[in-house]
Amino acid sequence: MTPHTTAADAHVPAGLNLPASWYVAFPAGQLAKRPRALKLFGEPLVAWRDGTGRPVVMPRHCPHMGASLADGTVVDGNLRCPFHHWRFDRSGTCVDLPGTARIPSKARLRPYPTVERYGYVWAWYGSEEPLFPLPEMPSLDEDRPGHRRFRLADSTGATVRRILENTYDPDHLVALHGLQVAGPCGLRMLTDQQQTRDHGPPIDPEAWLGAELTWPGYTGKLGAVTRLLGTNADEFVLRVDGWPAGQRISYWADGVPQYRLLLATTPIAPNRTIQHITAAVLTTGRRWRDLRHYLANRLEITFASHQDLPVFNTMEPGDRHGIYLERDRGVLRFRKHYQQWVDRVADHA
Amino acid sequence: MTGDPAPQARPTPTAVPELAAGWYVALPSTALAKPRALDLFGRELVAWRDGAGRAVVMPRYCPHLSASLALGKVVDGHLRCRFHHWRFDGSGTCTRVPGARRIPETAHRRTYPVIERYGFVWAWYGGDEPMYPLPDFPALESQRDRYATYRFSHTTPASPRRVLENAFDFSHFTTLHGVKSARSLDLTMLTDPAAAAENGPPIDAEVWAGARLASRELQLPRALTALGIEGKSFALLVDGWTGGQRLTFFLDGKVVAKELLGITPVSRGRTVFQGWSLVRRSGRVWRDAPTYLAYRAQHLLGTREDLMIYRHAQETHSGVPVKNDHGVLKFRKLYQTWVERAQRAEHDGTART
Repeated sequence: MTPHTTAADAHVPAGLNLPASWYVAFPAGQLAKRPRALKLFGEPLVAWRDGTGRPVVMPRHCPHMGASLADGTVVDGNLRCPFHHWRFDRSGTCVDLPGTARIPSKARLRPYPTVERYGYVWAWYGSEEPLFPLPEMPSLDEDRPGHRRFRLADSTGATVRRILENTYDPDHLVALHGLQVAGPCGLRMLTDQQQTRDHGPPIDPEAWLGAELTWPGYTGKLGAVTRLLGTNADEFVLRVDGWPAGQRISYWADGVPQYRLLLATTPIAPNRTIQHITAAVLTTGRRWRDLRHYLANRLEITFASHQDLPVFNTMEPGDRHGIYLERDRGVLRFRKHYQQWVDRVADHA
Repeated sequence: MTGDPAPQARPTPTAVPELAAGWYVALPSTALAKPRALDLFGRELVAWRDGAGRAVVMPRYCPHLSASLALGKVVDGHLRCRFHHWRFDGSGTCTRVPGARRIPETAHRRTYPVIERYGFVWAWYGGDEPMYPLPDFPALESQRDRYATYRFSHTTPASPRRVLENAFDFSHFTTLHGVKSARSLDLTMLTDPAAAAENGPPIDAEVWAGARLASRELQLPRALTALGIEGKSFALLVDGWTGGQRLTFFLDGKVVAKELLGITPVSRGRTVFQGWSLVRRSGRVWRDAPTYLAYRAQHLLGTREDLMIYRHAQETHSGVPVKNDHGVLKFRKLYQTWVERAQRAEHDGTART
C-alpha cells in the first residue's frame, strides 16, 4: 500500500461507517472540461477529466502549499495547480514541477478508482484497488431497447446503511407508505444469483446479497387506482440484489416484469447521503399501454421515495442498532453483510 | 456538485455540563399541538399530547429502527411511529407492534415527569422521581387580575447557573445596570423560606435560595420620574429553585411588579430563559399604562445588558470572589449539591437518554 501523502486522505473519517464498495461520485453530466470541487466520503476532493475525457477523483488540495486544485486547469491532459503550476496526471503523480530538476517522491496524490457508467461517475472507496468490479445492469445502458428510463437524486440526512436497508424492510411499505394489501408481506433471502439473472451478470459472490419480497394485490384507494390503470395484480414481487453500497431491483406483477431500477448512494459526510435512483420501465411496443405504465410506475417510484425522505432526514444520527423482530430479519441480514464490508476497509492510519 | 445540495448536517445537542436536578421549562404550552422534536437537557427528545391532552416528554427516536417519533401521529391517544406504526402511550409503554405477538421488553421508553402550569410545560431533570414539587406562584393564578402581564423569552450561551445566580449578584445592579443610590445596595440572604411569602407559598427548604435586595435612597432615572413614578426606597425580593425564580419589586414598600423566571437548558452553550412579568395595576388607566410601558422598557434594556455579558463571558467556578459576591457564592454552593444529586439520579436510571 502506498503511504498517504496529503492531510486530506490521511485517515478514514470516523463516523461514516462505510463499506468498501462502489459509490456514485456524481452524475456524469455534472463534470465537463473544467475541474470541480466536491465533497465525498467526508473528504474535500477534486474531479476532472484527463486528455481522453476519463474522469479522475482525487484529494482536492495540492501537496505543495495546499491550493485547491479545483481552481486549476487541465493542460495537455494533466491537472495544473493554479498556485505554482505543479501538474498531476490521472494517476495522481506529479509530472511537472516548474524550476525543479527532480520531482519529490511525496508530490503525489492518491486518486480513487473510478468508472463512468449508467450516467454516473462511480468511485471506489476502501482500498487502493477495487475488491470487485462495478456490478452491471444492462437494462440501464442508454442503447438498450425495450426500456424507458428516468432518474431521481435526493439529498437525505441519513446514513448509507439506513437508506439501503430500507429495501429489506417489507413492513415499512404497509406502515409508512400506507400500502393496503390483501395479506401479509413476505421476505425470503436469495441464495443463488440464478434467481436474479435478469438483473445482469453475476456480482462477486462475496459482495452479493439478495432477497425476494412478495405481497398480494393492492386494496383500498391504491387498489382502485391501480385497477383503473390496469396495473393491479394478484401478486407483486420485488427482487433486490446488489453489493454493499448499491442495489439492483426488479418489480413484477403476476410474473410480468414492470420495471428495473438501480439504487446507489453518494456519501458526502456523516448523515449526509444522496440517494440515486435510475429506473428503466419495460416497454412492449404498444404505445398507449407503454406510456400509461411508464407514467404509473414513475409516479409510484417518485412518490414512494419521497415518502421515505422525511423519515431519513430526521432519523437518529449514525447506525445504532435497534430492536429486531422476527420480521426484521431482512434488515438484520443486510446490516450484517454491510458491516462485514465496513471491516474490509483498509486501515490507512 | 459545486453547490451543495445535501441538507446541512443536523446540529445535535451536546450534554449540558453541571446541570442541577430540578423543574425546568420544556416549552410553552401553546407550542405543543402536534408531536414535535425538542432539544432539552442536551438530549434529543419528542414532546406530544396524549388522548387526555396531557403533555408527554420522552426520547425522540423509536427503539425499533430509529425513526424520529416527532414525525408520528397521535392515534387513540397513543403516539404512533410513522415508520412501522409502533405505538407508545403517555407513560412511554410500547402498546402495539404491528404483526408481533409479544412486545419486546426493551421497546418501552421512559418519560420525563411533566407538569403543565403557568402556560408552560415543565419537565423534571435528574432521575425518574421529582425530588420536590414545582413551586407555586399565586400571582399568575388566583391574583392574576391585579396585574398587567406579558411573556418574555431570551436565548443565551450562558449556563443555567449563570442566569440564576445573576439575581444574587447585587453589585452588578449598580455597575452594569446603572442603578443609582446615595447609599450602597444591601443584599440579605434569607434563611427561612417563609420570609419570601410575598412571592408565594414556601418552596422546599432544601432547594430554596432567597434574598432581599434593598436601597433606601434610590435615585430613579429621570425617564421614570417624568412619568410620575416616584419612590425613595426600593426592594427586590427574589427566591427560587434550581430551575427558576420568583421575584417581587417594591417601591416605598408597595409591590410594583413581579416576575416568574423559568430556565430551559437546551444544549451545552444554549439556554433559554423565559417567563412572565406582572406589573401591578392600580385601576387608573392613565397611570397604569405608562407604568407598564416604563417597566417593560426598563426590563428589556436591563436584560439586554445581561445578555451582552453572558454572550462573551467564560464559565467560571470560583473566579476571584470578593466580599460583595457572598450571595452568588452561597447560591453556587447550593446549586452544586443539586448538580451532584442529578448526577447520582441519572446514573441510577441510565436507560433514559
